[in-house]
Amino acid sequence: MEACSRQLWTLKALLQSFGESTGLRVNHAKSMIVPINTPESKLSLLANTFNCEVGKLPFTYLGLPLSLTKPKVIDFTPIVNRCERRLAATSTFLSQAGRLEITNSVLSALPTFCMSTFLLQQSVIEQIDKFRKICLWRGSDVNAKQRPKAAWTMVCRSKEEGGLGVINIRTQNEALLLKHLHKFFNKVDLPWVALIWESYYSSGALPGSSKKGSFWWRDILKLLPKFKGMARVKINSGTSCLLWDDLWGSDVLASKFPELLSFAKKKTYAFHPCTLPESTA
Amino acid sequence: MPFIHAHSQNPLHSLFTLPLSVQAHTQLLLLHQELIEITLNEEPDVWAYIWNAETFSVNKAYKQLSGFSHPHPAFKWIWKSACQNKHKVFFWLVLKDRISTRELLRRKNMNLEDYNCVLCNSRMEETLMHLLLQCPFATQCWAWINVQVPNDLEAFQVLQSFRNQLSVSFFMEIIILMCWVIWKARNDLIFRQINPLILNSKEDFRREIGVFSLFLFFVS
Repeated sequence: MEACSRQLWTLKALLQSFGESTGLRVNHAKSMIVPINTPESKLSLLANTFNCEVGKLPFTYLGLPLSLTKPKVIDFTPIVNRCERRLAATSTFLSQAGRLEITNSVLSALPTFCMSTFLLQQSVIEQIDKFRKICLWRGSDVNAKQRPKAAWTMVCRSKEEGGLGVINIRTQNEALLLKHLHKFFNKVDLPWVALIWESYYSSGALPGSSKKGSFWWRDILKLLPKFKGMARVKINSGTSCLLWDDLWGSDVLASKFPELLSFAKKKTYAFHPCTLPESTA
Repeated sequence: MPFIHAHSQNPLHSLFTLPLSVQAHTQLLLLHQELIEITLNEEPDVWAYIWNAETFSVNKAYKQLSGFSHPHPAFKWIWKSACQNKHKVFFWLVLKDRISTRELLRRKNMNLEDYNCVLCNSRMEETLMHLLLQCPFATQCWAWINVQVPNDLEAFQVLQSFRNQLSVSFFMEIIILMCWVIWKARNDLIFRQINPLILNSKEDFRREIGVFSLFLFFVS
């Protein structure tokens, strides 16, 4: 809301009357005011009005770091620390199989919630992997010296593929994020999907060449080739599909008719005819 | 409405720099053929997946992203078997040749006084193949359950041969537990100075398989 004490008073009054009538009172000491482009002098006044603390971005909202920019590595330390704490609770006396189970079902699962929203940085993944390796091969003692028995890449294959079924965090992260692209392309009835279609692709252009949008959407778009690699379109309105590059028939047109494509005026066409150029004939 | 009609005011060839080459023209006609079959409507497009489903599955996507390598089916046999997990992980390490035999320790540059097999006097280096198959102690153990150890075969071929010889549905459990028992006899000798006796190993095997048959009993 706007940084204006009049509005703040109104909000406070609203919360007050809500608390009075329902008995569900707001604990102002647990509340936080987060400024965006607000001068310092005004801020302290507002905070005093509302009787709450002044917070700053990024802060934790629903268990995830909330910020205007991409969360930095340091913002993910709570997740890494959680893995480390869990490690200390892991008994040294477990067998190899027991430690494998702990790694698979506890340590690998901890970052899942975060990974279904953010594309984790490589260094965050490395730190989590470090603790998973310790858990699998060394028991709970971080400093104990015991070499891993098998290479991590070998361990990280699924059991059918001849590994130990430990998930590869990077791949899992991508698989989880592809779900957002699934929702986007199928135009699932969600506010964010409508928002992104409206604000970035209302002109009929489709995601592909240009990378625009918030840090989050740009991260998701990095996975576009991987998504297109496993998706096949059934054309209805043709508004979300590229003529040359997407798989809608038996083959991707670009590889089926390369000769013809070399004569095309534009290499990326959306399928829908209203985005086709005016007739030059 | 059919796709071609939908943009009849800009015909298909207007997308291209004219004139086309002969080959490109043939492809243009083919493209025309494909497009004419498509009817556009107001519904949003449906993005389905190459695993033949319209619903997205993170699990399937994960498998797709990590690729398929088609390893030997023995890796599936391990996890399908009814052994305890510790036996399964042990046998996985065996199949990958990652059990800390003395030969492996030498490969990892660990200094030992002696790299030879402790279960026999043949002065053979303790490799995995020697310890679990060729060592007289191991051969005796296998012979006890009527399995002949074939000579000069690669690990997976040996496994296949054992499977044929045992010809029971729970062949994998038997193989895993026998390897476990032999490995245990070796460790008992090295770390607890207990002499390896076929008799003891037989007893171990009976006990382990007993636990397992109890499990089978409850499952069936």
